[in-house]
Amino acid sequence: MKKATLFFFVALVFVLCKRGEVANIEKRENIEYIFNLPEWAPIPNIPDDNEMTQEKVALGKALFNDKILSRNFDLSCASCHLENLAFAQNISLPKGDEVKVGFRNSPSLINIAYQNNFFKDGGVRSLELQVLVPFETHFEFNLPIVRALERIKNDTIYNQAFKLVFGKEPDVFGLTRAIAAYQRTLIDFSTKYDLVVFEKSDSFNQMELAGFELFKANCISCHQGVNFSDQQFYNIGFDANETDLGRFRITRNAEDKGKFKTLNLRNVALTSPYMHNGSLSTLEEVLEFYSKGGDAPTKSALKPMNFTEFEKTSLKAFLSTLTSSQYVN
Amino acid sequence: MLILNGCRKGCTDELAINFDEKAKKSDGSCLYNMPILNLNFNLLFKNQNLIFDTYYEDYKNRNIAVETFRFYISDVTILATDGSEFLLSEVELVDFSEEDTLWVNQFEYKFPPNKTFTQIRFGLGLNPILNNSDPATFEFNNPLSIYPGMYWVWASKYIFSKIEGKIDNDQDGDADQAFFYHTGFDKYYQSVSPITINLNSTLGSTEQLNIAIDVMDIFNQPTDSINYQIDGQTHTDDNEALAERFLVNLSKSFKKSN
Repeated sequence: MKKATLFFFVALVFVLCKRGEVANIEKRENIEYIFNLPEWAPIPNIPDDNEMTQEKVALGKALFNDKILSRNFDLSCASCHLENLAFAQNISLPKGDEVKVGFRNSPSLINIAYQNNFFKDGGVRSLELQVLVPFETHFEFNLPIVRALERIKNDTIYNQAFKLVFGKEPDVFGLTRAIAAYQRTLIDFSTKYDLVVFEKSDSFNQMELAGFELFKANCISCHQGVNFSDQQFYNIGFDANETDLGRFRITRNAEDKGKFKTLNLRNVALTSPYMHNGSLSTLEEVLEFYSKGGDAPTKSALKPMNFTEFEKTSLKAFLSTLTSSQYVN
Repeated sequence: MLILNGCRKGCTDELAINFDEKAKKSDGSCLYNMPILNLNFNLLFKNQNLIFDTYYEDYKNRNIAVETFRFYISDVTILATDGSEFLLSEVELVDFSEEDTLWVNQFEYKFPPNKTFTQIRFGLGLNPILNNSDPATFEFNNPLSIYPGMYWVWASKYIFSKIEGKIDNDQDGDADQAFFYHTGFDKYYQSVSPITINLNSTLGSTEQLNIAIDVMDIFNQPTDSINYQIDGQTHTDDNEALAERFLVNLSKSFKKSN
């Protein structure tokens, strides 16, 4: 979307206001954003200072997709969170400003609204604070937020939209709140798994069912809940050399070295490559990794699961039922 | 009329700027020219005022130049002889930059009159509550906003102090290496030992309180000497021990000056 919805909202206000009364924009009530959730789905926690409105979500979506936020006008949030890949990316590590490479794989943003903390080390404690990261990171947008705001202020539509939504000119508060609000709308509970387990309107085939039983027996202690994540941190013996210290980077607790957050498995069949550094290319490789209990068993919280080929195939079939309906051919 | 004058309400305190000599009963309206305290931080090198981007000779025949130096202090409090305390400020960003920034090394406060204050204390860095703030919720001129560049976005935490500069090891006029100490994290928040002062506050007065930091003191404390030629770079997460050493030494380097 190239600001189309945003333009609609701003244009609507201009029509509603008499000429010369643009200031009335600041007084207009925004329209509440209503989540379209199935009855069984939890309601996301919304911060007190970032109530959801349709106008704010439209503004956030426009900003999410806009490359003016990057130093060289060549990157947006959507560059590394592609909608057709469940808002993930199909390369191991993201490439940012001047093709500088990041050090962790881009996660899917589907159902990000349910997370308590962000990044694979959990270092960022709100979706609003996460918005700050790409600006101040040299291998992402690499554009100081002050300069990004200058660009936004120079854009008439954005300027009016911020006044409409926040009653003031573009600032850091509005920027972080708008993009976070949009990201909270990236919710999906339309998978075959949802139809079978929650809606009771479909059924697994034999292979999927076998995989589901294996999943419950071996994986669900960490990959639990409607988003298949307990949001805790584990060392699963992945990076034997500990080139990325994971949770330790934040807590400085030696016991947290090599621990990474349990990731949401929704759309996992779409979001290869895998693991925190994107070094496993396929689900087969991931299942093999778990089967042997990790690369560094002495450090791993995993026990070897010793899956047979049939078990790996059935687990993969089950994991494929976690794909949102819009991505199923 | 006599009855009305007898009931007149107003400010009955002679020390107030709106003292009403005809008032017989106080109505709580008194206004005062509260004493003003100017708290000034001065940056020195071997007891001389330091100028940024200028080389100074250290104790090992090397030249160093400071290019950036800023740090947070929090819970800035003065203590009076009567046992009372007065919080001057919850947080300040002390910035010695000579360029035009919003943050400074001089602060002005109103403080209580008719007391003698003998100590000032503050924390170096941000206490854990302040360190958990969301910088996006502060206006651009607030020290806790994102604008001073004192926030680690990847950790949702503030940078307590930043000092950056260059070293000319052979004194040939060319920089040979850079030094920087970017420090933070809750567990390295430092309580600076109370500094002895002598402030008598009277209504309408302006008092000066000068605190000096000598760069050489930061690197040459009796308890720990930091050789910036060897131990010269830390972002804290990549050299935690050095960051802690720097903060401890800095916390010991504040001195009252004239």
